[in-house]
Amino acid sequence: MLLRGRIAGAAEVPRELVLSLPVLTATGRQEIRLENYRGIQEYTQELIRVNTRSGQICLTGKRLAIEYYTNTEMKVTGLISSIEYK
Amino acid sequence: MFWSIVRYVKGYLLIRVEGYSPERFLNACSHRGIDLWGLRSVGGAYEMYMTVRDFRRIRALSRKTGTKVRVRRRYGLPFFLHRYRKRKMFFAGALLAAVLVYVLSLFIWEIDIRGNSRRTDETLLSFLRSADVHCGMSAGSVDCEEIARDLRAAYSDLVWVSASVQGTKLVIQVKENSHLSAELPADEGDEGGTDLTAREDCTIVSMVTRKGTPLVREGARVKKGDILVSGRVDLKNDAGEVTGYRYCQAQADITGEYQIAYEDTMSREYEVRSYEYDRGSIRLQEEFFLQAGDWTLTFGGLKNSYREYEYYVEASRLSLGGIISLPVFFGKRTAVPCRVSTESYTDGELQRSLSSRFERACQDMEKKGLEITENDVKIYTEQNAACARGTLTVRGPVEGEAPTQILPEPSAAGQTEREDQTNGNE
Repeated sequence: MLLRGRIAGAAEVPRELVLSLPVLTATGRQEIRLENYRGIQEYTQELIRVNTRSGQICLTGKRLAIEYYTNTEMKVTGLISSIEYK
Repeated sequence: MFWSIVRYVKGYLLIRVEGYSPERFLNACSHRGIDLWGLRSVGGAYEMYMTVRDFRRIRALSRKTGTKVRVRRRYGLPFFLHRYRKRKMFFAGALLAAVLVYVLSLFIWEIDIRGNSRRTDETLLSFLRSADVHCGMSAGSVDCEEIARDLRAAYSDLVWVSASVQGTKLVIQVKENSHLSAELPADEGDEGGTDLTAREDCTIVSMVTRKGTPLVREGARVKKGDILVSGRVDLKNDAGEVTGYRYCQAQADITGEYQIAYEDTMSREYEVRSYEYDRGSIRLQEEFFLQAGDWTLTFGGLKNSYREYEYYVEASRLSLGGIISLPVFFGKRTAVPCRVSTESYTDGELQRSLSSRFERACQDMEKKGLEITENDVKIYTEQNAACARGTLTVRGPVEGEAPTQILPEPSAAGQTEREDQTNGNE
């Protein structure tokens, strides 16, 4: 992992591509796009737990819904109150 | 938007997934490239949308993950067609509409002429009609190259013509020659020349000849139609005798001074319209209409007992996507009740109006390149009207064009004379 990180740094390649790190794009509190994940661990209207290569990401909020869920990307909408890495 | 249309055409389902761990089902779907959308957690189960094609692939997944999948609702065209499969007239109507649109799209329903300012649409359309190009003709029989060629041949001031068929519209783009002399057909290869003649009775103030033989000098008094610069150039031999003629398009800048009569009459009385509708029984009448050929369908009505009213029509043409114009018009007709009364201008108002109109006329003349050197226009006020009358002395271009008269070559006549002299000496 460390070697890969160094290679990525030397080659000026985005780290998320080489290390498959999760990419979160938040638009306000209403929308989050998530890339490079492994799968959903838990999903309720108040909590979404997603497995990634670098650990688990917990999204908490109200009326959480997954607008789309594909192999590469997912989009979560609702009122998001926290993003937590575990 | 695009994907929602694709999904609708292909058909999609709202499914409910229940079981011990429905998250496993979601991950298995994403792993196998099955796209899910509108995923919601509802009472311990998940509801989501997926395409019909993907639904056929998830049976094994649901068994493997121990979940139960139920279809809640079906959406899309395949289900719509299946639901209404017994309504044969509906499908026949849809098919007929599609066929009608296709058949109508095979004809030209509009001719759009762009870029013309001196030649009106009506002039060009009547020429096209004479060339058998008209609305309602088959789009396949339109020869754009021939139309462009014919137009250029018929109107020499059109320096560029392009014709193209866009849907059911024939678009003709033209570029007119901004130089006024191009109005007359002037073929370079033609043997005849062009004279510059006086357009007005005038006194020549200045004259710069670039091509041709000048026949008048500055200060000369000429009449309308007199030749100012001839397109005929005399060819002379060493003895100064004319041996032949060469013809050219005469070119010169000629400024002349001449008088223009100005008269502008204005009536003392004028109409005033007052609009007082939507009060009591006086109401604005509106009628919506749909017109196809001679057949018209109307909603509302314009029937009224008003003594005076203004009548407005707003009409638009029906087109599909702005490309296929159909011979169907729709719009609104309005009758606006009004009261017409007559009022009179005072002497001061009349004088002010006539003065401002005269100033505008002077400005228009200046825009045309005329310089006003003298002005004796006066305003005469009478009982029922007022009149601005007088003459303006202006300076401006006075040259017009006319074909040069072709003279017989003098060389033959000269030779004959010389032969006669020789015979006499003998």
